[in-house]
Amino acid sequence: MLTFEAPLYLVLCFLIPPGIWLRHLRRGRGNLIGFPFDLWRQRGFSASLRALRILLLFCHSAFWTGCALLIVALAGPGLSSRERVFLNKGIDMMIVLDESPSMAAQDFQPKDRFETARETIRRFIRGRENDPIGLVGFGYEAALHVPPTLDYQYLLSELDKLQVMALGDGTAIGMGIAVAALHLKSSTAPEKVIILLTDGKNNAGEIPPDTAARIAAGLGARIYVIGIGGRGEVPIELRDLKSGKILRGSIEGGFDEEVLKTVAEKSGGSYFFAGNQGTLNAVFSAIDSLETVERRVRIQVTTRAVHAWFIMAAIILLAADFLLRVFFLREVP
Amino acid sequence: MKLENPLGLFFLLLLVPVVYAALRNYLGAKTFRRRLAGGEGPEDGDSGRFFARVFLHTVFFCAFLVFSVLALADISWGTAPQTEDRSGLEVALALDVSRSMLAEDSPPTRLKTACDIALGLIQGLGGSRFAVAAFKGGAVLAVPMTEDRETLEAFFLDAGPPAVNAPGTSVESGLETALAAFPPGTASHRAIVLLSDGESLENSSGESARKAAALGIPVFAVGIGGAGGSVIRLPGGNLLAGPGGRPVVTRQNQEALEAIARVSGGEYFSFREPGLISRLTDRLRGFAESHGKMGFRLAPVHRYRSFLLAGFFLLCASILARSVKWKKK
Repeated sequence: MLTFEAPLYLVLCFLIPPGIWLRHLRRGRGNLIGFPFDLWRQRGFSASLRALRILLLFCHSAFWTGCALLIVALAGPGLSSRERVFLNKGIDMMIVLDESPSMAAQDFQPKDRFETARETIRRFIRGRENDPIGLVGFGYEAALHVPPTLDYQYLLSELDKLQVMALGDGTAIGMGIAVAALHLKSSTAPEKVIILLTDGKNNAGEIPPDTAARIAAGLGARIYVIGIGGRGEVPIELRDLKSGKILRGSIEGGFDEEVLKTVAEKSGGSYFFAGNQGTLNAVFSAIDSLETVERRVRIQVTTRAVHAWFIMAAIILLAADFLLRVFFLREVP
Repeated sequence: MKLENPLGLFFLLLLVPVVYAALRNYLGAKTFRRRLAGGEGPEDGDSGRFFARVFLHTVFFCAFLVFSVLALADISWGTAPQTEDRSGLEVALALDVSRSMLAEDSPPTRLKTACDIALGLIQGLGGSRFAVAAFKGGAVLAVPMTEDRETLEAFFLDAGPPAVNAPGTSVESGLETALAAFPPGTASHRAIVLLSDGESLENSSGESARKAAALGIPVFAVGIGGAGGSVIRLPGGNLLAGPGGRPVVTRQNQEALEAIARVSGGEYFSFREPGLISRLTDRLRGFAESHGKMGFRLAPVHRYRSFLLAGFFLLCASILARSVKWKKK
């Protein structure tokens, strides 16, 4: 939005119409000089005045536009933008996402579990403000993808890069929680939360889930555990990252609900079961509404001064007017 | 006194054609007037008035140009308090990972020295957030703005030229990425720490430094490497060779780094300074505190309006000198 630092200067624009009248429309504004035709070797005027008139019109326009731009520049134009600035810290969150092959199970039609989880996480991130959010993935091993950050754009781009089975064939739930806890260690946020999404049983990694939950609880982090996927036999389709081949088959669904409940209870969090996309969305909405802190917000208006562009344009137009009059029209005062 | 837009002074070159054209036209018109008067010069009074009109019109117009150009250059002097309600500190570390940073004139290598400085800063500024922009010919956001010490330390313990694919060195890209690393909506003070030997093979970094200054983000440039020059030892042990097969010699471009720091309102530090990390930490902490105390900060006062107003009146005077009829007494 264009704003002015000192709009009172715009009053000077009222000088332009009388200026135009005085300079171009007033009677007796110029002098008449009579001279004999023999100055032109008795041939009279042969040149067309059309080009001259166009040039004059351009010069007049350039001059008055230049004047107007000078006045606008005096008023201090700037491009303003409003920004919500948070004055206190939000909640540090780590999303721990299962990347094991079973996440490619296709019981969340039309997408598989992983794509559905990714889409729901994406929506959840977009709905948060001022909460640093990080991302941990786990399969056979666990890895940090993004540390807790407010740079949601970066977070979303990294989320889009995740692939099923990139961290091996296995489900290291305990390691996933432990990695998330490790990266919340230096957090100074008033609240810390880990959101774990998994569809399987812990079968890899050196740290069992309940031990990891105790570590997280020791750091003051609550764990919300979401068990996703249906029970029973489910069709599966995934691409093997090494060979590039599409693998198809079926897996027996199900996760160790007791272990997941223990993890949630030990850390003071909650356990949720999401058997379909609608439930998963509802679970994230519930977490979204549970995890809120008081927010102190200030609206900050940032203005970028743009007077230099107006001054530059004015100088160019006024100098062009001067030079055209003197060089081409041979005008003298 | 400081010029915010010194490139604007190039517009003063317009004075050359303006003065030349005015002079040429005056002389031409003088000859023409003589011809109109039948070969003899007009009366002395007429000549004087004609000369005065041309002279005043031209002088006023030239003065208008000078003042407008000074306004365009955006002169500022003095400071004025501006309200500011900020707390905390966010630092974007722009780390040069180009191959020239493998030179061994700041043992063990320039890159390792830069990483040690970064790690020292991270440890010294507890409670602050850091981001890392690694740059060579291009730049990547290696670590987003975070409080997580583990991620930052892990990055600096393993940083090297493979972090970025693009060959060459572009400090400009590094600064641009560092500027983009500050997420919106935070009330923290913001600063960039540039860790580089300043050797830039790509475009100039003046534009990003000016952009940083406009956003109130100072760049604290830490120059790493000697001025005497050093060869670059590649990881395999061979020396990096140029097109002629001769070893490439690299040296710190201190002037470039100083210019970036000056334009952005920051400061230059040499890696050789004793107690560099504690000095830099104190400087950053001091920057955050001085800018947040009492709810205001001192900002430079831009004086362009005074010059522009003077220019506007001189333009009016130039038009009046030309338009008003100068009557005989």
